[in-house]
Amino acid sequence: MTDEDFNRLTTLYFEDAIESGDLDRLNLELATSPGRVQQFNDIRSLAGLIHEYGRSVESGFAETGRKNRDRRMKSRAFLAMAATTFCALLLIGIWTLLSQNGHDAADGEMDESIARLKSAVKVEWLGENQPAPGAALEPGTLEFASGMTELEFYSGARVIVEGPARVELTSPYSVHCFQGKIRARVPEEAQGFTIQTHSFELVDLGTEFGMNVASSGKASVRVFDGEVELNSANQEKKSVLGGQSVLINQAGITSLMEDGDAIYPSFDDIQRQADSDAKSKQERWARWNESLRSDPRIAKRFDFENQTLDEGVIVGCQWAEGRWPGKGALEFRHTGDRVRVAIPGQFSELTLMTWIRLDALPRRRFQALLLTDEHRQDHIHWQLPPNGGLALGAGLKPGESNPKPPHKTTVFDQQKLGVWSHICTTFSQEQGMVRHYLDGKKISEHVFDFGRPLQIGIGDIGNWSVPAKSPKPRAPRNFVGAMDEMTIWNVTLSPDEIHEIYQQHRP
Amino acid sequence: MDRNDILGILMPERTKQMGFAWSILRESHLAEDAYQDMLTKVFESQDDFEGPKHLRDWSWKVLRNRCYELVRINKTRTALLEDAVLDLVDSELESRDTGDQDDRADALRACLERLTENSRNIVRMRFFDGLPGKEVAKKLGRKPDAIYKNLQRIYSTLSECIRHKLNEQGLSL
Repeated sequence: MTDEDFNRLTTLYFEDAIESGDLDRLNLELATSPGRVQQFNDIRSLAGLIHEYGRSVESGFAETGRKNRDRRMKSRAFLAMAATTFCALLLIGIWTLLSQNGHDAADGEMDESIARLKSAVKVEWLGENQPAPGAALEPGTLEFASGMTELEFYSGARVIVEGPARVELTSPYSVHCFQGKIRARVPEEAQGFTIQTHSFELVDLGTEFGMNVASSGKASVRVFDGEVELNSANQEKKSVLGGQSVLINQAGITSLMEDGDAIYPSFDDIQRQADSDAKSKQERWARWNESLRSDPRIAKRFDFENQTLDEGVIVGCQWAEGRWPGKGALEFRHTGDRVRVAIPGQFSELTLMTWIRLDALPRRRFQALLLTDEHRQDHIHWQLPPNGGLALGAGLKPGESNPKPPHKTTVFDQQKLGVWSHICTTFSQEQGMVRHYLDGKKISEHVFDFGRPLQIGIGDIGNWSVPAKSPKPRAPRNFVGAMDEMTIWNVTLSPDEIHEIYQQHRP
Repeated sequence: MDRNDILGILMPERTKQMGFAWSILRESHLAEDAYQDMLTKVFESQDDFEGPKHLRDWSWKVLRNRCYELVRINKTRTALLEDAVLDLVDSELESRDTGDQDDRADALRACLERLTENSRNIVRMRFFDGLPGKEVAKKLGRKPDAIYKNLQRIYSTLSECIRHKLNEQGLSL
């Protein structure tokens, strides 16, 4: 038994999902191998550690150094308390732990992704996993009722999936297809790329092929170039060569068939459809963009189109492609890159909205979205705190105590780098609330009883201008990535309005 | 032996005992119940212990019995390892040294921080919300098999990471 097999059986055992034959194998392995007993108990010890760790973090004795812990362990009072209050600490503890983890997720985070979603054209997603184009994909299921996706596996295999489809990505070299039409182009470097279905397994031997898998389990395979191998429980291994097509029934029995290329998606198709989809998105967005010009709710809008700005001054920055081909964006790369803006007025209601493609998550510094110069009273700082949070703050009066900053600690992680994200923050003086949104969904709300309107005035998009007479240099706050529009509304948009804007104009 | 003495002896065993209870009961809150029940029984017999070893051995025995009792009461399990194999693995776990617990805790803390948000989410739901893998899958809109694979990978990743960190300090997992 390989380590991989043993770990799989152990996990299934702990999940009450092990079948009797596998339980027999696990019994035998453990009975005959002291090494396996240790492996088995390593996982049990790990489970205990996780419980214990959650408790120690939340207990108020959240020290990390050995000295403090030793002191804690010597404290009889602590021991007595720990034994009787563990349950409550456990429940609260993990939230603190995980929120801290998220906060620190930027550097050194383990990357479990196995593929990238290169494009998604007219996809009607099903289920909670609805990745945006460009997203890194971890093992898991993608399910959609219609549309086409193109996946780039890290092995080098490129796979188009056309809906209705349900596929489970299992590794850089494998995918399980429950339903859907597939076209795969597998370079030499990814030979052995495997597609598992209900009734058979297709192993690529360096080729391009199409598959059509019905939910019933029936399937057809056409090899356009090269060779694939089909394995099933009820039939000997079968080789299919370039130009051949086969039908496979629910039992995995194959038969040769006459077949054209038409039923399988093609790389040209998806490119054509992506171009057409981008064009219609751009047209819809342009109409909406035009309508906003006369919208009295807009305090200021930067659409970053046509490589010009109606207002504001670009310092540094480069023009770039936005969230679809044809949409403009401004790229912020260097420490000094910024757009100088002037946004007069007082805002008892305010909505800040932008599309960004974040390219870096510095561990120890803020990234500016829209920052008023210096720290002026009542003037805002809208920014990404270290490690991908989202925060809105405002300058206080001299001597005023600091209201709890409306700050969502974890919004962006490594998986969101390079992906277009819609972020929005609203403020209502009357409600005393700040709400943060990501991709059209509210992700947090905070009491922010500021008691007076907010202001913006002179400031920077994507950077921060500190006083020229500042006695010492400040840490940079430049944004690293691209921005393809920013809108400042003088109203507090509702969750429904924000969701609608996102849905209408998502990439 | 008073309660503070008892806790002073048993607390270093706690991580192993919680891992043991969880591995039998598969559910965090039940595991904690079993542990608390064990402590209660130990306290009730606090005058009977002849020394630390007697107390430790007795606590393991009580915990083991309580876990299997809860299995029967709650019908939480459908399959267990054979008795002889259970004895084998349980005695290995029981005999493990607990002297480097602080280093393990530090290592685990650092390693948890390196997991992706998705993995941390699964850890939270599985271990601290007390959800079985099937329920985690339902909540995330994924297939149970996918979550089992995630958990397998999380265990491997964390074990490897902890081993690496302990090795750096000249210790072992």
